[in-house]
Amino acid sequence: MKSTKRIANFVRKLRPGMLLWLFAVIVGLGFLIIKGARAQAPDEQPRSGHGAGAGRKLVVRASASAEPAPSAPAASASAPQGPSYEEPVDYATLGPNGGVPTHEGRFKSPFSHPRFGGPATVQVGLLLANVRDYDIQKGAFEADFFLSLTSDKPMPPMDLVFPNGKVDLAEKVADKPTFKLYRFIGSFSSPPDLHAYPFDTQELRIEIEDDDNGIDQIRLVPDEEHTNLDVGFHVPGWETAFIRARVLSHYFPDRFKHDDLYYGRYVFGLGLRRFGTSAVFTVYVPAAVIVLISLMGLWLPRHELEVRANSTTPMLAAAVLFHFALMQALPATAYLTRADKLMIAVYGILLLHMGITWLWFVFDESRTEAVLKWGKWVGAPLTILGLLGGILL
Amino acid sequence: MRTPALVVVVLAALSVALLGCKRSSWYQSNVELTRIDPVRVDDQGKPLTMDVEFSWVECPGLQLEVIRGGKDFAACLSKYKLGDKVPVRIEKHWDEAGFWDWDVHEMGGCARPPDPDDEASFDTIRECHPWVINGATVGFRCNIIPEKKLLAACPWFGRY
Repeated sequence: MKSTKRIANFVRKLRPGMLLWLFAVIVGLGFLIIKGARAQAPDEQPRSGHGAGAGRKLVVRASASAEPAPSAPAASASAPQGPSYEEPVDYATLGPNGGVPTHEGRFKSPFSHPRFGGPATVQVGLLLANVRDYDIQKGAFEADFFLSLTSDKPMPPMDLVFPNGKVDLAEKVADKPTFKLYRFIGSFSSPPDLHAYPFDTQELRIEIEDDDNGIDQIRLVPDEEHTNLDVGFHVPGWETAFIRARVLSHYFPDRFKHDDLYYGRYVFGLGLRRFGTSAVFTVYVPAAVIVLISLMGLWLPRHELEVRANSTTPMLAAAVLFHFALMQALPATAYLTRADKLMIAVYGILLLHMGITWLWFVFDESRTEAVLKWGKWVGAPLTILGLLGGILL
Repeated sequence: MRTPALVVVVLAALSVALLGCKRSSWYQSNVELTRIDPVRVDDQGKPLTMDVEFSWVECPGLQLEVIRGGKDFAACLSKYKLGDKVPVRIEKHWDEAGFWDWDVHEMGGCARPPDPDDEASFDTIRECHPWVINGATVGFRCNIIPEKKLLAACPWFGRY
């Protein structure tokens, strides 16, 4: 009550002129606040994804929709006229028969943006800090990397998506109109190519696409100078063979009429090669030993038939088990790997040795020595040839 | 008697061959200094450790390396400036991890004994080529495993 009386006394003491001034100041401030809010409103509206992710759930919004539009240069009086950041579908023209609104120009798509004023050339750099848990069966791996985007003019608000993976951590380190730096940690997958297994080289790919802007607004360019592996980069069990990066213009099969806009996709590839020494000792040496043990049986005479048979049959079991163990570590493929071809040669050689032994039961006993002799001189060269064929083919 | 003697000779020859395979070799080359940064300094501002980045200008491709040296190396190297081409002495040696590695032992007449615990020194050995598809350059590819041309000019880069 006391405070109310104090306020009432204070107001009574105020002159009418002062009250008028106070009222004018409050109204002026209110006007300025409302005007500022209206000016900011279009940039705060989330942009609708109309590109690669339109119609599907976005995996990550690396550049959040609430990101302030890079309008700062345009606001400066001395700066050149900046590009338009309005929503292109809003000013697309509707035809007389309704349907999909279109634009005039190279792309008719309602998501093309002729008013943007030409594409921003964006240099894409990537520093791969770490690759963990590479699983060749699934082609899956976890990557930790920095992504830099540097452009010659302000970039439109972007919505980065990862078509071949998902991101668990997306940290925006820098976000300026012409420079952006992100750190991502995520899981990705690339189909393995096992034709040359165990001398295979796998490419681990990280694909990045801007979901919001077509090539009429953003032109991605791989930045060779700023694409690197971190110091001490190493993937256990693999030798780093190469890095490569490219940009492809991605065209969607028509989702609607005049869906003719291309979207740029950045693809980074890390080449990992299996160690040659490891491949030789884990695949070729055991296969050769199996064949050589079986080959030695060809020198055993008929009265050692049991020993001779034991040098081949158990080797067949060993070969099958060995082949099975090899294939357990790999996904099923529609083609033969080099290891498969080697094992087929091993099976063929074991069959040959078994067949030579069975010749004793086909021919008369008087031919026993001849079968032993010819078995050696025909079987041994064929074995070597078969093994070489399995290794080289 | 002849057979055991033959076996001994063969084993001895194999041992020599195996030992010889892992023997270190030394090379000389010239490099261009691209960055000289003191990492740690003492109270007087004199560098205690220094990073030197250089380019292997006599080797094909873009081969960069950073080595870290101690205070004597830093003091000695202060006579050079960026862009200078200086001679280096390289040792190619067998690494217990199962590959060949190399160390720069001397740069521009300044001794730089490599520290086995040094994790700051590193190299980016790569040979890059444009990636062309349908006649258009769409990106690049950098081979990290040295190509034959590089190994012919600078054999210490061979790891296997």
